[in-house]
Amino acid sequence: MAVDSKQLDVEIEGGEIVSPRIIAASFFESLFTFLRQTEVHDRTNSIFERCLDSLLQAIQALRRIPGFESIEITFRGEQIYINDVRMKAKVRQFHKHRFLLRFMRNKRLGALRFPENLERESLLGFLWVVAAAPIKLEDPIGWVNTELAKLGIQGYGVESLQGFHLNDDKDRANLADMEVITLVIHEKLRLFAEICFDNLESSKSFDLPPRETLIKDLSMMAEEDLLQVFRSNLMKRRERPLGYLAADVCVAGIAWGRSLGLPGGVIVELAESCLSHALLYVARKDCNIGRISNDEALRLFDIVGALKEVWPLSELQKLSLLEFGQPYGQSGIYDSNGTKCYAHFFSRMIRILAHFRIYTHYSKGTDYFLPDEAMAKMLSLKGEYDSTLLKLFVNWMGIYPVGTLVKLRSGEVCQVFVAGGDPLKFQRPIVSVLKDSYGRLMARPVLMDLAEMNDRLGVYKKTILKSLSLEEAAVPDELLKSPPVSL
Amino acid sequence: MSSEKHAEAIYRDFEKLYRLSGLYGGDARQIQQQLNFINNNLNVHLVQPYGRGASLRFDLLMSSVYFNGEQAFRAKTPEFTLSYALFYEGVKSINFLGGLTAEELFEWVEMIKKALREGDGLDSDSESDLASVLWRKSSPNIKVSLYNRFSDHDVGSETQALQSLDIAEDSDEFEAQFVKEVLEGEFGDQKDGLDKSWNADGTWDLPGADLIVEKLGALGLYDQKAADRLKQELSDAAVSDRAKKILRFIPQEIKALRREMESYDENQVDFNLLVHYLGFLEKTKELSEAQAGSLMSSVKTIIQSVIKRFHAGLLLFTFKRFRLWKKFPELNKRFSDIEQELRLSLSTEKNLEVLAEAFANSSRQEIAKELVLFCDPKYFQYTFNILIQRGSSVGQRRFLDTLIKNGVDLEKLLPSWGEKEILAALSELQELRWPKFPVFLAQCLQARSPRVIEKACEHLERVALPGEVSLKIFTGLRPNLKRKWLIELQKLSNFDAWKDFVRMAFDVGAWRDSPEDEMALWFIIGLKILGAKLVETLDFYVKARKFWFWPKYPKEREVILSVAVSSTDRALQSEFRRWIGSEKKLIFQSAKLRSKLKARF
Repeated sequence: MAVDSKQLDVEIEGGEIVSPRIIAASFFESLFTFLRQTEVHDRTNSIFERCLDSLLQAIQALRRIPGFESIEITFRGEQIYINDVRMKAKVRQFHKHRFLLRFMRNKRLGALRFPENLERESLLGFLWVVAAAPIKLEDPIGWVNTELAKLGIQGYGVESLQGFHLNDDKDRANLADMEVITLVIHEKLRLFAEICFDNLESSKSFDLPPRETLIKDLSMMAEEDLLQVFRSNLMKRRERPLGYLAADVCVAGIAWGRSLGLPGGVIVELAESCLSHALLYVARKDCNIGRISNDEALRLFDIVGALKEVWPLSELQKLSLLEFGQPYGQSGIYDSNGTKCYAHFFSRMIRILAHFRIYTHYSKGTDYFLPDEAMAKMLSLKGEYDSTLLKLFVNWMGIYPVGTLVKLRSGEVCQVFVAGGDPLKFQRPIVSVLKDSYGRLMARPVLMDLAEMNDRLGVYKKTILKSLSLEEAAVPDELLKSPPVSL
Repeated sequence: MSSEKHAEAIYRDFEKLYRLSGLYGGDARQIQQQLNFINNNLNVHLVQPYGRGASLRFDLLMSSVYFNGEQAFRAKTPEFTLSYALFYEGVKSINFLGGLTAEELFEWVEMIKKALREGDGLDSDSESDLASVLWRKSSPNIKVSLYNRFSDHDVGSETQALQSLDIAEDSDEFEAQFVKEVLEGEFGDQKDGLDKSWNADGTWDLPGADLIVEKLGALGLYDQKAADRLKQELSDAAVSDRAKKILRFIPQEIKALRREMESYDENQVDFNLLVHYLGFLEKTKELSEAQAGSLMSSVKTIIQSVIKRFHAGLLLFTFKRFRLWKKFPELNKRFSDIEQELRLSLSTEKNLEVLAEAFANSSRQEIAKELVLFCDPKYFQYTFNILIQRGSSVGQRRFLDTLIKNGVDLEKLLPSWGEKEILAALSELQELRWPKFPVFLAQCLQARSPRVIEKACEHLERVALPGEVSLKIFTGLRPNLKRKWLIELQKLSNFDAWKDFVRMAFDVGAWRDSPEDEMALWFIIGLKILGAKLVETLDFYVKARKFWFWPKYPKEREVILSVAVSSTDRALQSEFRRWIGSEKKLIFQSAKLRSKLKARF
C-alpha cells in the first residue's frame, strides 16, 4: 500500500548549515548568474528578477554564518576571497570563477562590498552599476560612486584593482615561493623513492619523508608550477635516475589529472600509482618499458612485499604496476593467462607519462628525444598507447611543452612560454624570442603568439621549424632566466 | 502512479534522510520508525513498479533534480539540500538499484555529511573532497557518476539553459524542455527513467575486457586508415594544421573515457588483479613459500572484498578456476581456506536471498544457475523458499530445472523440504517433465501433509505405481482425500496405468462403504475402465431383492442406476437400457429415481 512520505514530517526547506563552503558557493553561483546575464540581456528582462531572488536568498543564508553579516568579495590575481577567506573553486565552478575574475579585471574592480541591511532595490541598482561600469576606466571607483549617488544607493562599495597591484610584490613573492615549495616537495619525494629503491625492507630504519603528506601537498600546487618542475627535469643527466623518474611522473600525473577534472582524492591515488611505477624498473634493474614477464612480476611482488611497511600500495596501485607495461593494442584489451582484461585508465595514463619521461630521459649510452620528438614518436606508434589519452596528453602538454627551445622557420630562436593547457584542444604556443631571425641575441626576450595570422594571406605569421637542444640553441643562462616583455 | 511520481517520492525520502541524520546525530536507532517507513516507500515506489533489477538515475542540477528529463525535486532553498551539496562537489548523477534499503541510504548520507563537515568553515585548507570519497566508496545499490573535464554538457549549470533561451513568462517550461533535450542527447540509453547503461542486470557480468569495451562503446573506434595517415603526417609534427587533424577527437571516444573516469570500478580492478594473481600461481613453476604466501594473501583480500559485496560473476569465476585445480594437489592445498570462505559466503541468508532472486531476473539467471551449484545442498530449500515468498514461478522453475540438469539428487532432497516448498515444487516439476517425478509423486501421496497429498492427487496421470500399492495408499487416506483422488482420477483421459488399481478396488469392494457421491465416482471410473465386466458385477446389486419387491441394496442400486442414467458411454448403452427398462417399473424405489429412469427412455 502506498504511504505518503509527507507523514515523515520532516521539513526539507531551510535547515542546518552542513558546510559553509556550499553556502558561499551558492552565493557565487548567483552572483555569476546575474552578472553573466547582464552581458546578454536587457535590464528589463524578467530573468533578472529570478536571479535577484536567488542572490538575496544566498545572501540571507550566508548571513547565518558568524562574521558574515556584511560581505566583501575581493578579487586578487586568480583568487577570489569572501571576507578575506579564499574560495577554492571545485571543478564545476572553475569557469564561473574565471568569468568573475575576468569581469572584474576588465572593469578594473578589485572588490565589492555589500552592507548589512541591504534591500532588494538597492542591491539591484548596485549590481547594474557594476555591470555598466565601462571597461578599463582610469578611475572606476569614482565612476561607480557617482552612479550610486545618483541613484541614492548607500552602504555599498567597490575597490579598484589597484588594490591588487599594491600587493603585487607580495603576491609575486608568494607565487615564487609556491614554485620553490613545489620543487622542495618534489625533491623530498625523489629522496623517499630513492631510499626505498635502494634499501627495500631496510628503508624503515631511515628517517623517510612522509610520502602521503607530500603527495597531498603536491596535489594542491598550481598546475603551472607542477609542469615547470616536470619540464625542468627533462633531458637532464642524472647519475641515479630512478628517483627522478618516479617523482617526475608523479608530478606530471597530478598536473594531468587536474587538467582532466579528476577529483582531488583520485588525483592523489593516481599520483601514488605514478610514483610507484618505477618499482618495475627496480624489479627489472633497468629502465626498460616493455611488457612485464612472469619472473619480473614475481620480483616485483617481492619488492612490494618488502616495502609494505613504509610504502603500502592499494589494490589499484598494484594493478597499475602490473598493467602499465601492456601495450594498448587495438582497444585496450590484453591477454593475461588466457583471460582477456581491459586495462584500467590509471594504467593507460601512467604508460603514457612513463614512456614520455623515459624517451626524454638522458641516460649514458642511449638516445634520448626532445619532448616534441618523443611526442611524435608516441603518436606514430600503432597500438602502443590509448590514442584518446595520448591526444589529450599532447594537447595538454603541447607538442612543444613549456620550456622547449625551438627554431622558427623565419630563423628566430625561441623558448616556449605558454603551451597547450586544454587537453581537448590543440593550441599553438606563445614563445619567448631569444634570438632574432639573424641569429642575434635579444637584449630581453619578447613574447610572440604563434596563433597570430596574416589576415591577407590567411596563414600563420610564424611557425616552428624544429626543436633545439640547449647546446644547439646556444643561449646564455642569464637570457633564459630573464622575464620576457609581454605581448 | 506515473514513473515520475515514483521517482519524486524516492528522491524526497533521500533528502529527508539527509535532514533527519542531522537532527539525530547519526544514530540510526533513533529514527528506526522513519527507516521502516522509507523501506516501505522504497518497496512501493521502487521495487513494485520496477523490480529489484532496475536502476533509476537522478541527474543533479544546481537547484533541482531530474528524472527521465522531468523535474523530480526542487527546493526553495537549494543551498541547504543534499542535491546542491552533491552538485557543488561535482556529482553528476546518482543511480539507485532495486535492492536499495533505507539503512543503506542512511549510511550513505552519514558518510556524505561527515565528508562535508570535515571541511568545516570556509577555510579552504581544511577542505574535504567529497567527490573523491564518493568515487571510491562502493555501495551495493547506489552508484555515483562524477563530473569531469569531459562532461561537456554540464546541464547542472542552469545558466547555460537560461542563456540559450528567449526568456518568456513560462521560463520554467523552456528551461525544462531544454534540460530534457540535453539530457536525452547526453544519456540516450535511458528509457522510461531506467538507466540501461548501468543496470543491475549488468552488474554480475564478469568485468572482462569485451564487456567493458562494449559498455564504453570503445570497440570499433580504432581506425586503421587514420593510423596510417597519422604515421605519414607525423614526420613533421611542427606543421600545426596537420597536427590539429591528428589531435582531433571524435565525441564517442571522449564519452567513453568520461564514463570510465566518472566512478571507481571495483569489479574491474578486482577481476584484473585476480586474473594476474591466479595466473602467476598457476603458471609459475618455482614459487618460494614466501612468494606463494604473499600471492595467496593478496588473492584472499580480493576474494573477501568480492564476498562482502557479493558479486556473483566474480565469485563464479573464482570457483571455476578452483575447480580446475582439483587435479593439482599443491594448488588445491593452497586455496582450501579461500575456497572455504567462498563456500561460506553462499550460506548466509542475505547472499542466498540475492542468489535466489537472481533466478527471477532474466539477465542474472545464467550466473545464478552456475553459482548455485557451488552451494551446499542443504541451503537449496531456503533458496527455493525465497522464490516462493517472492511469488516467482519462473524463478522457481529455473531453480529446479538447474538442479535437475546438473544431477542434483532431488529425489533424496525433496522429502526433507517443508510443505510449502513441496507444494510449489510439485507444479513446477510436473512442467519440467522430470523423469523421477512419478517417484516423487508417490512419496507425496504418502506424505504426512494432507495438502501435499491433495496436491499430488492433481498429478495422478504421472503416477506409476503397481495397483496394490496405489490401493494400499488410497485405503489409508482420509475420506476427503479419497474423494479428491477419485475426482482427479475421473478426469484422466488415459487410464492404462490405473486399470489394476480400479480392478483390485472393485475386487475387494473398496467402494462398498463409501458415501454415495464417492460411490458414484467409483462407478463412473470403474465403468470407464472395466466396462461391461463391471456391469456384470454391478448387475447383482441392481437386481437383488428382499421379499421379492424391495431392493436388497437400495443405496448401491440407486447410485448405480443414477450413474447409468447419466452415462453417455455408447458401448454400455444396451446394458444400461436393459437395466433401466427393467428397473423403472419397480414400485418400491424412490420417486426421484423412478422419474429419472422413466425420463431416460
